[in-house]
Amino acid sequence: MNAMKNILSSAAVLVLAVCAFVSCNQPSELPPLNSGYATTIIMPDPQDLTDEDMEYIEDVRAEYEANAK
Amino acid sequence: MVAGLCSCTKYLDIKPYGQTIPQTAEEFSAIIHDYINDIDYGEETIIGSIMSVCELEAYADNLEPLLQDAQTGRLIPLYIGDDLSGKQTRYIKLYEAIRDCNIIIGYLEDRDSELGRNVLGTAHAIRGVCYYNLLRDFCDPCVNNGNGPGVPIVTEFDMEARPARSTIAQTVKQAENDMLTAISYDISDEIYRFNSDVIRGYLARLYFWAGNWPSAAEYARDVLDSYPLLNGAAYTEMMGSETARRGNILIKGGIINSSATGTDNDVMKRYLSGRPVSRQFVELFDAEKENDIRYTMSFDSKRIFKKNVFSCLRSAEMQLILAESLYHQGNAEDALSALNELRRNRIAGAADYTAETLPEVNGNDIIRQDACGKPLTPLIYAILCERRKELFMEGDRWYELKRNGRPERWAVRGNLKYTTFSYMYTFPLPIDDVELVEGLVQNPGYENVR
Repeated sequence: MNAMKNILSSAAVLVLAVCAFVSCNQPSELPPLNSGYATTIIMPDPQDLTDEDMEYIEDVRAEYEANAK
Repeated sequence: MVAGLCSCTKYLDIKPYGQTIPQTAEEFSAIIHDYINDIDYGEETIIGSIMSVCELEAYADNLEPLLQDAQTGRLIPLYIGDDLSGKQTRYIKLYEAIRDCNIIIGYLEDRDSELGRNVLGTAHAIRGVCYYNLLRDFCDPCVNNGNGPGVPIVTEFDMEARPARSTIAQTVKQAENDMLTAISYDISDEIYRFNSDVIRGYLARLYFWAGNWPSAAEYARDVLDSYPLLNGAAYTEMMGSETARRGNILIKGGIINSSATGTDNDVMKRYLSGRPVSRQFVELFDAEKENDIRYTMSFDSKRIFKKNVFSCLRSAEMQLILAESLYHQGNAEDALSALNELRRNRIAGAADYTAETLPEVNGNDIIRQDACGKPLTPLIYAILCERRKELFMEGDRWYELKRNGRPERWAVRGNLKYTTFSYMYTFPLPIDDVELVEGLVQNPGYENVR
């Protein structure tokens, strides 16, 4: 009787061990979560307008005022 | 217990393995019709919508941000930098469409019935157009740059695949193969939208973008044979139709009005009315404005645009592709002839240009070189100017700037100068894709993220 118990226990342990090793063959199959990753591209800082830029803007606006009626 | 432990060999596997893949041609057809329905209502991924066209025009130089009204123009993107992070979503949506096409192409079993062939052909067409869109938005200009980074090529439905970038030449080849395969299915049912003529038009666009000038000219001619140029009242009627596809328009996005408060065009006209047309654009008409049908159609006396906005493929673009492709092949005579043909259809009593009468290149134009990197000649400059007038408010100019030297320009907000740098013409790949996929290299200029 004890021998039978030992055989059954051993068989159960063996089956459990086999199942534990083969049931999940790719444990890290899901891709990593993407939380924590950056999502926004940082743009270059804007620059101050130079006198030449201001002059150009004035020219564009003056031309528009003069010709768009 | 044994059964419980052994029954699931892939414990964390979430792939549906046939559980949600459609079975019948009708079910696959439903996927395609979902996309076509979106195109008809105006989507931003495949053909483009009124909104996406307006955004492209806001990034380009046909409208003048320096004249922008602070109130009415406050919602308009000042420059591409305002929207660059959002372009990651465009990349994702394009690959979602490619994924759905891959499911159809890979799993549809009924490949011989008319329904099956129409669905398969449309899937190839949509996938080809998606790769063409990815090429234009997420790769550097393609002419003489075949070895540059393309986009990942995905042709099978596999959720575990993590492909790195191909080359530009390989991406062009993928788009070309898809479009040629779509033509081989000879889609005849109008409901699928992408008939063989539409795909030939897209092939002309693809070859043109890639700098394959002989093929671009060949396919542009093919389309023009079936859809000749229109002029006068027929042209006005075609361009005046806000939604319906008329005249020689081969395909058009947003043919169904989706706005509850007027037409989509009305909404967009209000949206963009805060930014007048630029002086440089107005001056393109100077010599012939009284006779050019496009002058009165494009903007009003306050230089507020009034042309209907839509995203479409039409014959005039094919004529301009033909003219420029002939030019780049060294055939100036036929290029000039193609240009004159378009001008005769738009400008009443237009005198044909000759090599001697072509206007000089405007030294103030922000485009300084052609698509091959060569200095502008009067002929290529005339072709580019005619294209700018013809395709105004059709989302073309942004790509013209990209194709012809990626000029830098700036706009002002709150006394600060925001510059469209050359690298910004190529949009960023999604940051998390770059993090997750080994070998997927981000486009230059987008290293700083948060």
